[in-house]
Amino acid sequence: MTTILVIEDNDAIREEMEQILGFEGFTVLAADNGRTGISLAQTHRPDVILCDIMMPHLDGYGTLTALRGNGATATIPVVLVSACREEADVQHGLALGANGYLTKPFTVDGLLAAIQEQLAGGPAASSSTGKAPQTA
Amino acid sequence: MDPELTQATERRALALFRADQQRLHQHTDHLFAGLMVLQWLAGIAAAFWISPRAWAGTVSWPHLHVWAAVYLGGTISLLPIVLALVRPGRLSTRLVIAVGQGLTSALLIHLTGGRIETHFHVFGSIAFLSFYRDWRVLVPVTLVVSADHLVRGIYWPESVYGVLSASGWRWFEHTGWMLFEDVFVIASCRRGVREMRSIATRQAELETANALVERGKLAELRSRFVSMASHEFRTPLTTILAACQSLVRYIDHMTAEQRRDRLAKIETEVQHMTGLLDDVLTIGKADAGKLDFEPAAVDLKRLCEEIVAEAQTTAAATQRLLFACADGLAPVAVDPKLVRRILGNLLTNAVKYSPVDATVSCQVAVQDGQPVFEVRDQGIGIPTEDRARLFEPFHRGTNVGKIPGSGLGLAITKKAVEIHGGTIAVESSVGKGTTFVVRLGCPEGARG
Repeated sequence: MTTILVIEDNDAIREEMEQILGFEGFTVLAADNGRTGISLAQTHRPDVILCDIMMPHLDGYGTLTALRGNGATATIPVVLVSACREEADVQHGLALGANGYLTKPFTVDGLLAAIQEQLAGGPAASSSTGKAPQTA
Repeated sequence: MDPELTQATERRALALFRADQQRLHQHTDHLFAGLMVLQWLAGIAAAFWISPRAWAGTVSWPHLHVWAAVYLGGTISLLPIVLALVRPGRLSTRLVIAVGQGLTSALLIHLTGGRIETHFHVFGSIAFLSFYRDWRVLVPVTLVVSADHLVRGIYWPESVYGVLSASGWRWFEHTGWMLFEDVFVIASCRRGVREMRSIATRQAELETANALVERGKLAELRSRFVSMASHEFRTPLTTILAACQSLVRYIDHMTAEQRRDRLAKIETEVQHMTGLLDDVLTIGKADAGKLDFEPAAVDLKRLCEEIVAEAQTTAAATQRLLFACADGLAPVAVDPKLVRRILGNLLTNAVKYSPVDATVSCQVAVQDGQPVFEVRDQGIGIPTEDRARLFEPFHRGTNVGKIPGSGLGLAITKKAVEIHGGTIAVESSVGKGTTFVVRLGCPEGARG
C-alpha cells in the first residue's frame, strides 16, 4: 500500500490532509514538525512526503535538506506545500531537491494530482494554481 | 526624476512663488496705507508749523497751506489708502499708491517752500516702493514727480525749488537723480525676484523629495501588508477549502462526527481570519486615534491568569509557561480588553519565537499604583537592526525565518500601552531571549 508522510505544523490542515488521503486509500503518516517528520521518514520510508515550509524551529527547507542528506531518505519524492507563492520560494525549494511544489490553498484534486505525479515518477513540480510545471 | 514629476515640481514652484509674491505685495500695500496716513498728518503738522495763518494787518485766517495740507493731502492719500485696504495685492493698487506717493512728495515740497531737504522724500518714496520688488511701480512715481517739477519749475518755481527763478535744467537734474536711483532699485528688484523664485524652487523640490519618501514608505507598508495577508490568510483558507471539498467529495464515507468536525474547523478558521481582520482594523483605528478605551477597576491577577491560560494553549507541550503574581493586589483601573491584547500578544510571541523546550516567564505586579508586566523568553531574540522598527505595523524581525505572523501584534500592543499612558521597554539578545516590560499608567477618575 502506498504510504504518504505529511509534515505540517498546522493541526487543522494536517488532519484534513490525513483524512483526505485516508479516504483515497493511502496509508498516512503525520508529523507536526520537521524533526519528527525526518524521523518518521527514516523509519517508514514513505513513497511520497508532503512537507510544509513555514514551520517553527525547523522549516520545510531545513527538513528537505536533512532528508536529502540522509541515505535512507535521499531519493524519496518530496512535495513542498506552502502559502509562499513567490517564484524565488519555489526555485529555492526545487534547488534544495524538492520534486514538486504545491501552493496553499490547494484543492483536493491538486493535492492528489501532485501525489500521483510523484508516484508515476514524474519529475514535474505541481501547482494547484495551474501554473506550468517546473522541473526540479 | 520622471518628466511628469519635474513638471509638477515646476508648477508647484511657480505657485509658491506667486503666493509669496502676492503676500509681499499685500503686506507692502498695508505698509503704504499706514505710511500715507502718517504723511498726510505730517503735511498738516508742517503747514501748521511753517505757515499756520495768513495776515492782513491785524486780521488773520488759516493759511491756504493748511487747507491744502488737509484737503489736498487727504484727497491724494484717500484713494491709495482705500485701495490698499480693500484691494491689496493688485497691480492697479500698487500703481495708484505710486502715483499718490509722487503727489505727496510734490505737496510736501510745496508746503515746505521747496526746501531741498524735502526733495529727499522723493528718493525715500522710490526706496520704499522697491519693497514691492516690482519695477513697474517706479514708472508712475518717476513720471509724476518729473512732470510736477517740469510744470511747477516753469510756472511756480518758488513752490518747488524755493527760488523765484530756476534754470530749466533743474528739472532735468532732478529727473536724472531719480532715474539714477531707479536704475539701482530696478536691479535690486530683479535680484529680489530671482531669489524668491529660487527659494520657491528649492521649497518645491524639498516637498517633492518628502512626498517621494512618504510614497516609498507607503509602498513599503502596502507591500508588507500584501505579503502578510498573502501568508496569513492562505493558511485558514487552506483548511476551509480542504474541509469543504472533503465534505462534498467524501460525505458518504464520513461519520456524523467527522462531518461536524469539518464544520467546526471551518468555523474556527473563519474566526481566525476574522481575528486577523480585527487586528488590521484595530491598527487602523489606533493610527486614526479612534481606539476604544474603557478603563475599569479589575482584579489584575485573575485577568492575567486567564490570559496566561489562553497563551498556554498556543505553546508546545514541552514549553513551560510560568506565571508569578502576588496575592492581594488592589484593583487597578485598566481596559481589560486592551490588557488582553497587550499581555496576550507578548505571551504568544514569547511562545512562538522560543524553542519547544524553552521556558517563558510572566510576572505581574503593581508598583506605585501602576500595573507592571514582565514577559521573559528564551527565544530567538530581536536583532539590533530591527529594534527601531519593532513596533511598526507589518514589520517583522529579520531573523523570524518562516515562523508565521502578521507583524501586527507588537504594533497593537504599543498602541494599547500608549492609550493607557504607559510605556513598553524591551531588552533582547539574539539567540538568548527577549524581555518586555510594560508599565501602564493609571487613568484619572478610574482608580479602583
